[in-house]
Amino acid sequence: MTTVSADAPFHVQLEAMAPTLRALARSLTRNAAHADDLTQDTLMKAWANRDRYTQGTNLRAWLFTIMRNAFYSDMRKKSREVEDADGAMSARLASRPTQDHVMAMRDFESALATIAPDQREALILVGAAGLSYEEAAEICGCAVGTVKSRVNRARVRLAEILKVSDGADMTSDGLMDAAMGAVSTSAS
Amino acid sequence: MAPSDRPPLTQARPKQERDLIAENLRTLFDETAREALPDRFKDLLRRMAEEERK
Repeated sequence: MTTVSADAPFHVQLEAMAPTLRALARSLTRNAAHADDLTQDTLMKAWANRDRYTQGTNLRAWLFTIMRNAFYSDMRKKSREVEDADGAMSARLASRPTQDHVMAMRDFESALATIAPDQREALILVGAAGLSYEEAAEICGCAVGTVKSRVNRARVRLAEILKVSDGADMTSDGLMDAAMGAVSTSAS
Repeated sequence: MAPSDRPPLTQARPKQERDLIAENLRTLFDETAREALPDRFKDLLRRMAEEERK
């Protein structure tokens, strides 16, 4: 992330945050096209409401909150649609170089997609975006302890899924079986 | 640690598991964050800059 002064013009600050916003959007939507739509929506909302942002305060948390609200609002609107997350992910990954690393990351991303959304969100905010538990709690509108619990459960679940996929069955069916086991366990 | 040097999760201890998951998460996130911004964002930000200059 490019660091700019808090005194910089607002559009400069937004430009510096745009790559991080895209990464968060990609993590939330797991779809490159949706992620860019969500990022653009977030930037436009932030721009329209820039008079409500206090210069020098936590812009990243403010933008993440706008993005999260936009994402869940959009999810509610599209709740009747069935998302082809695997297909969308494959399309995105097809543009990357073919390397073992990419395959490993693809497995990891597939596993990440199977954990509960609230846990995945907490893990991404804290583990990937580098927010503090306090910042993540403010963005998610929940207690700090809840975020800690979600992050911990996400890590444990992810490790369980990846252990299964690293072990006996490396096929996509094996990973899916592991994931479905995780889903049925968390649903019960 | 380079991706190819990572131990498989089946052989990892809980602390290692936690580190590996954290590293994979950051890699996934950073790969996207390092991508060049598509033109649609450059256009949007250019319009914002013009508006802010007015």
